[in-house]
Amino acid sequence: MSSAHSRGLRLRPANRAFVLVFALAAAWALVVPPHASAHSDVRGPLLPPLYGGGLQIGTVISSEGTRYEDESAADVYVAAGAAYGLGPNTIAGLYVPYLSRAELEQGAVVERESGLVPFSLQLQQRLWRRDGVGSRLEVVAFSSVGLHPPGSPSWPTLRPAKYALSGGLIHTGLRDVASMSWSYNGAGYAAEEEPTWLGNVAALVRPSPRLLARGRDLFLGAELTYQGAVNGAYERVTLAPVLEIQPARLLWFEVSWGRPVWERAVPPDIQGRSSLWLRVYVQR
Amino acid sequence: MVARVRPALIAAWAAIAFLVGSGCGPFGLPASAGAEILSARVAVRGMTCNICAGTVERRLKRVACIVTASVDLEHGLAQLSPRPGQHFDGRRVLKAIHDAGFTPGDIYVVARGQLVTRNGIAYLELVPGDLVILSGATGPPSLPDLPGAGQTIRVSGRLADPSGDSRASVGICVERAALATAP
Repeated sequence: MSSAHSRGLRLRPANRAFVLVFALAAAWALVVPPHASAHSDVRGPLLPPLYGGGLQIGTVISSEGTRYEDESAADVYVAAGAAYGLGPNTIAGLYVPYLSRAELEQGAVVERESGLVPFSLQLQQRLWRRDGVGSRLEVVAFSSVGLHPPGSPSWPTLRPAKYALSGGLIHTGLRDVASMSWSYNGAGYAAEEEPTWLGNVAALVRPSPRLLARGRDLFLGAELTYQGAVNGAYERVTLAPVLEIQPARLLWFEVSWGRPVWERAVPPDIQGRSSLWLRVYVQR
Repeated sequence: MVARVRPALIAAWAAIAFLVGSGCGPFGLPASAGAEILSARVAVRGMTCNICAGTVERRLKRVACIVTASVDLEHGLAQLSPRPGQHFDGRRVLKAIHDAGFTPGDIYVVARGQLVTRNGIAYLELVPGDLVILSGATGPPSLPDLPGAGQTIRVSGRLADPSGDSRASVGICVERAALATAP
């Protein structure tokens, strides 16, 4: 049994590049100036609103579990990510995931493998915006290219392993945040994944805006995600409650737990898959 | 003694600066130890979080004519302390906000200088020879409503948006004018 996320990915042991990225992330977290304070209110594939020199760097730990008859699989992604505001309307991002997978039969681990999986270079362009006092509405376009990591069988080709194109509408305010996006996820070179559509609607509230004055912040909300094969073979919808908290000026935690609420003709390897996300990041 | 500019005169007159000498570019107001821009405030739209405020503050502090910048997130305002001895370049302030990814609004300033008149037009002399026109949104302020020529006055108002000729593009749309207590 294999996860759709990793089909076609050639897993290899962690290499020095991954360790280096993590070390840089940790080092940056230690030296970032104390006035940094932020939120990542945008859901789905879109990058956080870091225009004009804003910088975010952090780690994501994601656990996805699937159970099919007496078999199950547990995928744990540990990723380092960074996003930087190149200009008043442009953001660039890098996402480097590391995957550890355990496949089980009747509760016993029968296979375990781990390694780097395709990393993503991301670019987001703001196409339109309307700013008010304490509010913003914007339309963005997002693109992402997934490249084969060093050590994979396809390395060093520059032909993308996957790619994505998205459009999004984002509202941010002092009390609430809402976003919606629609993406096409294409399969690239040496990929076994099917092209998919991905839709995301998210709404979060800031229950106590007064926390902002103390350099703290809190968001509560939920996101609804649609995933469907472009050829119509299957569809699924997941719902995830979201909690984002800023306990200190530097630090943000984000937790979400997505569970399927509707599925149609979903392949066994992703049927009933749930995912738990924990994200830790700093932003300035 | 406090003199108010009549509201009817504050509306349609395009702000024009009459800048004598050098060192005063478009939308830039000269300042010196004796006559200066005392403070400035600019509206910033689109800020919704602390990171927004932090980004705007950092950008504004990089502007050469700004000593300190403090952002009020709730009201969408940035309070600026101009650097003494340097001309206050409003264009750079607006550009800094724009480059940070936000929408700048009007700049309001408090300035102190000597009132002079030429051809019936009132100017604020910030440094000897450098004149900034005092205007209203609809026309020139009424001289009888302003303190007498030669007096040091304090004015507050909106920096007029420059257009066209860089040598004739700066003004303060006066909201209030008062005799300064200090020379």
